[in-house]
Amino acid sequence: MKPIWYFVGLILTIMGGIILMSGIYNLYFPPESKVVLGEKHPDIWWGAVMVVVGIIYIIRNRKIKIE
Amino acid sequence: MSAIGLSFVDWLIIAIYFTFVIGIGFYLKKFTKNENDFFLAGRRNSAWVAGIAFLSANLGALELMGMTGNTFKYGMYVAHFYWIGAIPAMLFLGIYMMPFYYSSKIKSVPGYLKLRFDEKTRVLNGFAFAIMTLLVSGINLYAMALVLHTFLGWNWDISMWLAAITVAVYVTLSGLLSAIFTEIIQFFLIWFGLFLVSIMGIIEIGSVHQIFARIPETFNHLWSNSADPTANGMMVSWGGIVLGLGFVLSFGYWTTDFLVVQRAFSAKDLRTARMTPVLASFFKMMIPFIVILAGLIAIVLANDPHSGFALLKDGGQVNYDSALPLLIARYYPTGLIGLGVTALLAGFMAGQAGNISAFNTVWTYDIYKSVLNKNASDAHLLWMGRAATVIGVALSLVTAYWAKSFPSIMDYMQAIFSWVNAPLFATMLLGMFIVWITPNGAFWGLVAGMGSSFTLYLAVKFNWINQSIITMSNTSSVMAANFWRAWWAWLICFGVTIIISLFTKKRPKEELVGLVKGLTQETVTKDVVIYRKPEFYAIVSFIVLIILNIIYW
Repeated sequence: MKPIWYFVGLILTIMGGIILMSGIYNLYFPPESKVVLGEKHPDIWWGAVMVVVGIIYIIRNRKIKIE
Repeated sequence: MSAIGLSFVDWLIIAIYFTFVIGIGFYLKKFTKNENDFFLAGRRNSAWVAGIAFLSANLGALELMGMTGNTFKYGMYVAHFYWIGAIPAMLFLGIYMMPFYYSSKIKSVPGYLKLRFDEKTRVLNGFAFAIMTLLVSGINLYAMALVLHTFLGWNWDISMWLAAITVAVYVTLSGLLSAIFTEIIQFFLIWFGLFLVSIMGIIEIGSVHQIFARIPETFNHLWSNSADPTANGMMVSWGGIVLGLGFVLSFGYWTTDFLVVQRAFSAKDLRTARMTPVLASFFKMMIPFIVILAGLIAIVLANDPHSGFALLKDGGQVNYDSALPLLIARYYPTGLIGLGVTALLAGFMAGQAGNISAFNTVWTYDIYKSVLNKNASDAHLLWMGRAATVIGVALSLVTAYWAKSFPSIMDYMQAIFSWVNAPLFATMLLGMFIVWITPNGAFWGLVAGMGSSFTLYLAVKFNWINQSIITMSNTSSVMAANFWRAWWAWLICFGVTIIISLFTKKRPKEELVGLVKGLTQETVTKDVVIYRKPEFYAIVSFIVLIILNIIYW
């Protein structure tokens, strides 16, 4: 079977990608309701961190199979 | 309470999580071929997998909303639960106790009691653990319902049933294997989903130094205000912390609670099993940077009239457990708020799955096979494990409604642990390290310990006695009473076990080889390089623990 780390990479990449894209959308089309420190755009940089970490896990484990 | 709206993106992230965990259950089902796969995840896990699962099984409602809420209520003192209240016990399990557990090839902690003592001690502990597990599982459901109610405005009943059915599906499909997979995914989601709360809080308030400067003096120390119970938020002295939490409750939970120990049983060999809790101890020490810091940030914001931050109230009573969800709502924009909610849901579901997978093992081996059907085949036991999963989830729903009546999750948890785990630790300690402890001594000691703890709980609750008799202080909190009650239960079990053992029949030494220190071959391999030895990492972990306590003294 695929190692658990592969699935970790998969879910981080998917979720991080959605958050990153949502952050970029909010940057150009700011929402009406603001959150505290919204001007720091945590969705963009935090989403990007998740994507990077997720891709690293996927690449490192994509060919590994455990018995 | 008021609901907080979620956008399409937030819903999408939550839906992806639910789809993912159920999908993993189906994916792993084809690898779950026998009872060993279902109950012990095939005994093939690495130290990283077993170690993170070991920690994550405990990282449910208790660690997230409960501890953040308790930090709001008690202050920095709550960090004791992560440091002195966990690390020494985890290291003790890995270094001294794991060789007896793992080498005897048992499938559960009650299984060790059967080998070391007798059947009746095993069944007694099996029943006590099964009941405790269902009660704790109910907490996870309750906490999850709180999140869904707070964020989505769902009603309690629908929230609890949705969570229960999801867990039932993936644990029934592949047992401990899927529980461990989802626990590791949960670990990453919690860090990515919740650590950002602490980062944003620090940015808003200015610095960690500013946070400590703006909370009450009684709330911002670990030890320097512990001599006088009235000088700290939890109203408990250092004696209660060291004896009740640091010794009895902590060792009782981390070394005997099958929920966490089961993860180490899934390791591929003894060295890996010993490394499991040692590795987990490093991660455990880091959790306060999520929950304690978030709780302290909530205190600062609540004390600042310009912040607009206030905890929710249920019927005029402050709901401490709402602190973390409200911080998420404060800082997280669209998308991230979905991740924050998912992290909480993942914590609760993995916590509940952990309880259910431990329950189905103890029920199947220590109650069903031991008492009801001694000749059950392996295939029948696998079927029974799946049936126990469904029934266990259903019973958890019942206990969830009881948990809802408690003002704070953590008070409820510690009350339960003081009934079951605290006396069991005395039994285990004596059983593993003293040869002449007898089966009757262990059984009656356990009965006396559990009985006295529960009786003391009822006596205080219904005002038969004053709480100050238990805590030896006129000023004390519910938590302080839990710590001290655990200590008395341990002491009574310890004393009764020794006294009865002096007068009852001992088991022959040859039957105890591999189960008791002194009759077991030393397991430390001398040809292993030092940086691969669990002892080396245990020493490093202990040094880090001391440094953290000095920094926040």
